Amino acid sequence: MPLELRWALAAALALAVGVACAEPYARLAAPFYAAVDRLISAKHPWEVTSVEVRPGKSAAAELQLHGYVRRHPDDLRRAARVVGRVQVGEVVETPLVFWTLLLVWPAASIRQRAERLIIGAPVFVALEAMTTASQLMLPMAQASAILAGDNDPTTAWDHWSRFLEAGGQFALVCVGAIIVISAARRIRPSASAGNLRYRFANLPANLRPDALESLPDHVAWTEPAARVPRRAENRDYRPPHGAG
Amino acid sequence: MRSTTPAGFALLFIIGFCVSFGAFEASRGSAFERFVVEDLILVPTTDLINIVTPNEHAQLNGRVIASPGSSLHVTRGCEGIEMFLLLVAAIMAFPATWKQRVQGLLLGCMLAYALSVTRLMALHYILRFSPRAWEALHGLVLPLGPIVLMALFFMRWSDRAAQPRPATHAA
Repeated sequence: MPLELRWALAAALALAVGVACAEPYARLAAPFYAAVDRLISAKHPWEVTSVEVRPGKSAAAELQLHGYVRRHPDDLRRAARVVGRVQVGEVVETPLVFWTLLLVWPAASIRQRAERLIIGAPVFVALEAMTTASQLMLPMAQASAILAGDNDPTTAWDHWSRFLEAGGQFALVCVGAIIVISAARRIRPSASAGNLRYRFANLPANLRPDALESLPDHVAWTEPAARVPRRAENRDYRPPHGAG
Repeated sequence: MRSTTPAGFALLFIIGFCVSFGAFEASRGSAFERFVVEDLILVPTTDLINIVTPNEHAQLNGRVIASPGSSLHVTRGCEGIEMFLLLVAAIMAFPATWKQRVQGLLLGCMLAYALSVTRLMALHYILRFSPRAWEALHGLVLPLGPIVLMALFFMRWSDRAAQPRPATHAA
């Protein structure tokens, strides 16, 4: 199957999954966003009371952050009540793009794909915090600016939000995925650790020692790397042949 | 033509995107931005809606495509500019000759323009005839679908740009 067709099918499938799973995903991820937003608000006079999926103005489901803003961190009285809103369709964009890229990007082996998924998990958490969780906080920053006397506030949060809405979210998620793929590509088992299985696994079948095939997975091959025949290190090596 | 690693491409891409986004944001409210968004995108979209469905009687009021049955407010980030910004950043970050880049930008901009206009038309018709589907399509499919198509175009272009050119011999 041509690569472009494969990507197009994967994208169509991902979009269908996204439409079907946007709301359940937003419900599932809401506690994570609440935790991240509470962490961010700890350094500001903000108080996050809840993050949950609720019907929006047009009765469609949206992820809503409810919270309060004070004038100063030590104020006992709340000065403003705010509601941050993100459509559930936008919520699912980050996981959809990120995991589709990681899963569909061609891999040399299942092991390499698994490495990508393992490395990808913390990167994904960071991306979620930078995109959806930060979008929910925008009204709090605006309320703080208004309370400080700025009637037409354009805060750093506004600039970040505009960046995300102008394609920055897609760009950021793609960059995150490419970095994960690039990092996974660099990970190679060390030959000095006795892992000759990996080196031989890349060889043509006619050069692979028979014993390798019968070794159980948990047995490490302890033969020093220096004893590997030099010709065996050449992946493209073909034994000499001629007409007899 | 220089070579680059995937991580190097990603870094150049995000820097290029930030620069082009910053430049366009700086032009917000200027005659250039009004020309691009209103004259180049919204006016042709409204005209096309009236050509395809003459009974719509769509009108452009500022940045609102209004018809008797619907009113589509085209806000910041809804105009389709992001496709152009992503395209420029990706093509400039990829190792290719300047000729290949110019070709990619020309073809890509034409595609991005067609997708922008089509997307706004689709949003208008969804709002007019199927408002129940609005949230799903407006929130995910219509913002992301055109970007995915642009990404496929970029893959095709980069695949061709990366192919070695056949050697030529002087007679």
